Amino acid sequence: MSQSDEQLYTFGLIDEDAKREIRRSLLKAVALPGHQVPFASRDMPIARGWGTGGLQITLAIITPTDTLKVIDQGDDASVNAVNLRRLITRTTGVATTVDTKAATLIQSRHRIPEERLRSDQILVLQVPMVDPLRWVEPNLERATVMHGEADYARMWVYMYESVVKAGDLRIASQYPVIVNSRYMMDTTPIPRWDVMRLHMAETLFLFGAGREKRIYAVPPYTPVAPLEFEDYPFRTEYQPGQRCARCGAEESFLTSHFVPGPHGGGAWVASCSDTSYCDQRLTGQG
Amino acid sequence: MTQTAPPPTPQEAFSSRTFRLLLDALARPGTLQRLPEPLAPPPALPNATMPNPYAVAACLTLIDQETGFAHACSGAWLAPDQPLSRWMALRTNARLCPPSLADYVILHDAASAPLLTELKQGSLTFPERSATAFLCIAELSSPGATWNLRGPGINGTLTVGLPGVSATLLPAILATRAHFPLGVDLFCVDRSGLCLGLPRTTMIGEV
Repeated sequence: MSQSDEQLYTFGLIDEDAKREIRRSLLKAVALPGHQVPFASRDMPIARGWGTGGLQITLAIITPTDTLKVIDQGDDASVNAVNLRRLITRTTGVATTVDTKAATLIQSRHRIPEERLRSDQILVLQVPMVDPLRWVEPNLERATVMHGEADYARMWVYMYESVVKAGDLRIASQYPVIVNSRYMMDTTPIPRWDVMRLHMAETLFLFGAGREKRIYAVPPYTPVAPLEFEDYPFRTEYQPGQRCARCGAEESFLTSHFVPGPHGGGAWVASCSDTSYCDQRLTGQG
Repeated sequence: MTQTAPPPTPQEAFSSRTFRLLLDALARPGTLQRLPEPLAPPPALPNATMPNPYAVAACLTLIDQETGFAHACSGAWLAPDQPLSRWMALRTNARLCPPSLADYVILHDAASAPLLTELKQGSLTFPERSATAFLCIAELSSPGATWNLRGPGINGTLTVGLPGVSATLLPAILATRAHFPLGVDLFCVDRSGLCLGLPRTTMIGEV
């Protein structure tokens, strides 16, 4: 029996009621840069914690004319990216690309692509932990009140203690920022490398946390300031002399992976986290 | 068995297209977006004029049984038994409710703009529980000579023109955003379907 013309779902999988609710939350999120807007977070065919927040935003805003790129830690071919891309394309039929410049809609887990994003592109980020205050105030109601009153004193103490204990601002990812001089926001586990690329960007950034049921946004041309002290300024992971082992890039975010040697042993090799950027540099050079 | 992606229905396509334009308008205040042609014309207002079909259709894409709406014409709120109230409620399941409780509001003419101050502005803990208003005006242009805009979404300053609009409009808008993060988010829609987003973060000054 052919089921080829059987319609098993609507365009974009989730129903119009769910989309409308996400869209309403997105509009409020854009009007309140950095503020966490609650949303219903419907059940999805993938488990919560695997990108359902970003996925729901993508499905609520995608149109048939979009060109989609999905990345996981900068990688277009890792398992989370491949599965999310397959789900979105099967339920919408939109074109996909790995080329950052060709995409109109980019869903990302924990990276902002190396290439400068444009005003006609939207970046959707999957968020595991929404609230930077979680470290200092685990109670959600109290943290919400602290956000409402812009009472971030305990976070500053936390940063100070980090300096006293570790000698530096020891926060590898999820670096807290103040958006538009008002709301403290979790940058999701993007590396510090990407944090300043949220500041006064040309692109709209949308953040979706499916498990924690929150949506927030950073509009274009919005000031984003990392928490820092005068004598302990915010620093990225950049190391002088760093170089990608594949394409030779000296100004990109690197990840290291272990390459075993033929006779045991092996070595750690650093290469670009953004695989599309790395590949394009390789083909451009080669 | 192949499962192909179904194309969106005309209403779904209209809703998603409209939403992207509203999102762009709100994310980039001062940049005018042209809303798509509505699928159906709305009924007339009590003063026998036609409402702005673009604003009504855009509002319709956002409201449903979970939201309340209100609308006003000639400086007065419209009753549930007005043809347009019934038309909107029938198509969306949204309920017409008192203006201070409404999530979505249409002000069918600039003369109703002072009513903006009656809308809910959210609370410090839940500033998103505030009204979103569509204000229908005659004409929009960008750049223009009425207001200059600054704030998130704007690279420096942009100017917009609202020719012939009353001098009382700006004080009415500013009164709804004196206590950030509380405030009303606004879309101005002109007769040709051009849409200007004015989120509560936008600082508006007279040129």
